[in-house]
This record gives sequence, structure tokens and C-alpha cells, in this order.
Amino acid sequence: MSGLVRARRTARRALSSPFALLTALCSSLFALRMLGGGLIGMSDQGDGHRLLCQLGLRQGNGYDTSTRDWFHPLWYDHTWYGEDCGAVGEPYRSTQLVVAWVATRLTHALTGLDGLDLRFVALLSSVLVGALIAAIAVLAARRWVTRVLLAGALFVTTADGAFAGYFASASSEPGSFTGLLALTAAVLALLRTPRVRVHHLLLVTAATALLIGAKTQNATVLAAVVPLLLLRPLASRRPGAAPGSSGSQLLRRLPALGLAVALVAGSGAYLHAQPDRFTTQNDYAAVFIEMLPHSPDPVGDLRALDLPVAMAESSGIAIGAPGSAANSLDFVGFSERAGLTRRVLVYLQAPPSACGR
Amino acid sequence: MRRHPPAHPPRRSRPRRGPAAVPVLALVALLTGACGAPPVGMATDAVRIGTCKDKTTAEEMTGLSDSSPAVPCTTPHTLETYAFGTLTGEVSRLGPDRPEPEVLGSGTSCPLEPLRPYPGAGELDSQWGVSVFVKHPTRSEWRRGVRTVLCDLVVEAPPATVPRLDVPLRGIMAHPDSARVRLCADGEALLTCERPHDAERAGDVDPGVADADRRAACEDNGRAYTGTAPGAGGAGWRAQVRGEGRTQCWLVTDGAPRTGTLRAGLVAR
Repeated sequence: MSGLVRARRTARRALSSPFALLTALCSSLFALRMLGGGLIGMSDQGDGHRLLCQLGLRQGNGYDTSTRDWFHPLWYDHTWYGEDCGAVGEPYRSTQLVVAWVATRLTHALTGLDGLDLRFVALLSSVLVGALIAAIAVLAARRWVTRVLLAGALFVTTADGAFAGYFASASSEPGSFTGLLALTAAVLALLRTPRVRVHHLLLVTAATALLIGAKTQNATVLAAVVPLLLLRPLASRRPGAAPGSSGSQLLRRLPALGLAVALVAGSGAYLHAQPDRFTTQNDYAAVFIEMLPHSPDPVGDLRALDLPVAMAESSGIAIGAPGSAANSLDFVGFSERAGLTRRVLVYLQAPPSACGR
Repeated sequence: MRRHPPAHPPRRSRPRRGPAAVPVLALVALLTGACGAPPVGMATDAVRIGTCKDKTTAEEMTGLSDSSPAVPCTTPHTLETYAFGTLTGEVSRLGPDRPEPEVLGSGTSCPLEPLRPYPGAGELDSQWGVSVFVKHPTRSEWRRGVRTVLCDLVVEAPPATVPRLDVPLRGIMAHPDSARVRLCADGEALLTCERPHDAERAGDVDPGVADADRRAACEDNGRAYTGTAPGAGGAGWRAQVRGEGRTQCWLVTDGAPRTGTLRAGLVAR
């Protein structure tokens, strides 16, 4: 049999596989949803600029015009100097940058534009989402009807207006959505295989890394992923071998343990590498927008955080607004005094305030 | 149709080394973390009075610091440094990390005194449509002890248009293109004289005198400002005292709205 015939047969077999068929169907429908009736997209509240400027791009809006009120699908090449890009110059890392980078290359190759057309982000997202929905459906069910129903349910959810716009946006959310789908597929592969192999663990680890790498908030999935990684020991090398002693079972969980530790440590490093500015803004909001306005004793909370009691006047005022506590010298070192650990301690000392009033 | 079990046990393939997670993660790390340091066109402490920069997005213009390269002020630019600002002693002593933007902002001031001499404004010249933007040292410069604060001038522009100028603001009042920064009015609306208008400001008059004397003083201002008598010349202006307290001297032109300035003695570039 010639190589060509063999290749064609392999290709035909691959194309007739449930995964390939569902991928083609879901991806096409998703692309149709995104582009068919005119581009669906999401405007930028500032996060998109912070992300895409790192690829040397600027949004195609007129000078000082709103990027929130209008959606601008075209981004152009631009040189950003010094701290003009990112979060006050600090890099803003997200795995979604990979998709955006590929989309810029496609934009240039197919349209000649020196920049990014968000329609290519939509197309890439369609392929990714379609493939991941297909993978989940194929891994979760054996019957065609069930697979199609499951894929349909996932498609309708993902293509809903609440999510679809993000897939043609400058935001990092699409990375979260595709990361979550990838993690679902990887977990299904891990749970459904009769014999757990290292590549099952690696798939879950890689999907988790992509998900957390998209947005720091996704680090919460570690609470579920770590136990899942440790749930089943690696299969014995001898097929049909007895489960083995508890010692050998523990030994066969060591790779999973290593990957779990790597994930936790990597996530910690990633969280730490986020811009300080984000940390400050989040800490400020946690104290002045969430804690103090709902506290029975704002002054006591401020004392517990080692902050000046005069800052109680800024309760409910956003960081950039007039009257913000940040407009004061006392704000220096705020995050050290009102970081997550200190806030948790305050809530623990006064449980009613943790529940609001 | 049910599938029959294979006649032979499946051939044992070479165990796979796992998916392409490692190269994927390497790519992710490369693209998300290692994009390199952004370029620096000019250090903050290398900027001099009269340095011009061309920043074309609102994000750059409102940025905390400015590392853009200098451009000649005779080419399109958006910022021109007219003075150095000062930090309060407490703020300037903070370190080694640069304080938060809000703390910096509350402890910074730009001098107002040079605002009129810098463009060469005389007693009768009124500026309009010029804003002050403040730029602080970058994070790394602050750590090195740099405390230079730049006070830049930015002109007004129509909505959605980059506020560019292609002449220096320093001494601009001596030239016809000063219409870009002179105060005019179209009815009640205040605007720069390069836009269609029916009145141009020509200084103030003494509030402590009678109305007739104020008008006479305003006519004197007009004569000095335009080099012509009221109603004379192509513009045909007349003096009008306006504003709260009636101290503002305006030169009103009848007929179709005009653009440019009535100011006499300006030197073409």
C-alpha cells in the first residue's frame, strides 16, 4: 500500500471519528454565531488595553473616545514607551496573549493589516471551543445521541450572549472559558480511563495551568484539581496486576503529588507576579467598598488593620474618586497593612461583619 | 451495529511521553512573561524646558510617567514641557518604591507663574485651550533617586482628534498661529480663535470706574491689541465689556464669523 493511500485512509478515518465530526460541527456553528450575523464582540473597560498593548497594539478608537461604550474590532501596531503599557507599566500576564498573538499573525498574513482584527480571535476561539466541546462530549458519553445532546447543551451555554461577546474581545476572559472547557475534558479523560497514565495527569495539569494562567481568579480551581490529581494512583505497568499494597499505591501517587505541588507553587508564583497596582486596587476595594460600608464598627476594623481611623470617611468611595483614602500619605504601605491575611483575621475576630448586616 | 472485538490483541504501541504540555507551557511562558522591557526614548531627568513629545493615545497622555523620545517642536507633537513640578518633602522622601499614583498626585504641584510668560503672553493676550499634564519619574528612576516632575502643556483639539501642534508653544503669542491658544467667543461659547467666532478677548478693564469709562478703556485695549481704531480696517471691531463684574474687554466683529486673531504685530514663521 502506498504511503499516499495510507495517508488518505488515515485522514478519512480521522474525519469520520466522532471527535472530528463534532469538532467540525461545533466550530462551524460557533464561527457562524460569532460572525454570521455581523461580528459579536465586547467593548473594553481598560483590561483589554492593558493586555494587548503588550503585543504592541493600540485600539482603533478615536483619541480620548470611550472604549467602553463602543466596540472597536481593529487594533493597530503601536510602540509603547516606558510605563505607558500594562498596569502602570507592570506587565499583565495571561495565557490569552497566546491566542491574541496567533490572531495578530493571521491578521497580518490574511489581510495585510499591521495589527489585530478581533474577528481572528473569534475564529480561533471558535475552533478551540468547538474542539473542546467535542472532546467533552466524546469523553463523557458513548452513545451518539447523548454526545450530540451534551455537545448541544455546552454549545448553547457557551454561545449564549453572556459569554459569546468575550470571544471577540481584547479581554483575558476567553482564556478562562476555553481553559475551563479544557480542564473539564482533561478531568473526564482522567476519571474515565481504566488505567491512569502519566499523560492523563499531565493533561489535567496543563489545562489547569492554562486556566489559571488566563486570570488569577481561576486559582480557586486548585481546591478541586489537587484532590482530583491524587484521587487515583497510576496504573501498574503489568496489565491485570493486583491493586498492590498501600505503600505501592502511595508510591504510584507520587507523580500526581509532584504535579499538584508544581501547580500550587506555579500558581503562587503567578499570583505574586501580577501587577502590584492590581493588588492595591483589590485591597482598597476589599476594605473601602466591601468591608467598611457593611461593618457595624468601621473604626474598629480600621484600628484592627492598623489604619488611621480618619480613613472611615472614605468608606464607600472608589480609589480614583474624590475623597478616596488613597489621596493621602497614610495610604503608603496600605497593602502591607490591609492585605488578604489581615482582612481575614479582622473578619474572624468579628464574625457578624463577615456575613454583612 | 455492534463492533466485533478485534481478532488480535491490539499491538502494543510505544508508550507515549504525554501530550505536548511541555512545549505548550514553554510557549505560554515565552509569550506571557518574557516580552522584554519596553523601550525608553528619553529618561525623565533628561527632559529640558521646551522639550516636545508626541504621544498619540489618551492612555499615554494620562500615564503616570513619560519615557517617549523627544521630537522637534516644529513637527507634530502633543506635549511640551514648560516647567518642572515639585513634590512635597514627605512624598519626595518616600522610597525606595515609588508611591501609588494617588499619593504622588496629591503631593505634586506644577508652577502656574510661567504659564503666561512661557508662550509670551502680554497684558492683553488671553490664553485658552491649554491644559497642564503632569509626569512623574518611572518606577526604576524613582528607585535611583530621580524626583524630577514634568509639567507639560497640551492644546485643545476637536473631539476624537489627537491634540497635536506643529509649532512650539514657547513664544507662540508672537506669531499668527497663536490663534490656536487665544481666547475668542462665538456668542456665549468660549473657544480658541482658530475656530469661527464673533469676539476676541483683549484683556481686562478697571472695575472701579463707570460703565462709560470701562468701554473707553476697552476701546483703548482694542486699539493697542489690533493696531486699528474701532470700526476701522477689515475686521471692523467694536469694544464690548462683558462678564461677571463687567471687567472683560471683548472686541466684537459683526457679520460672518471669522477665524484667526485680530492681534497686530505678529510675525509670520
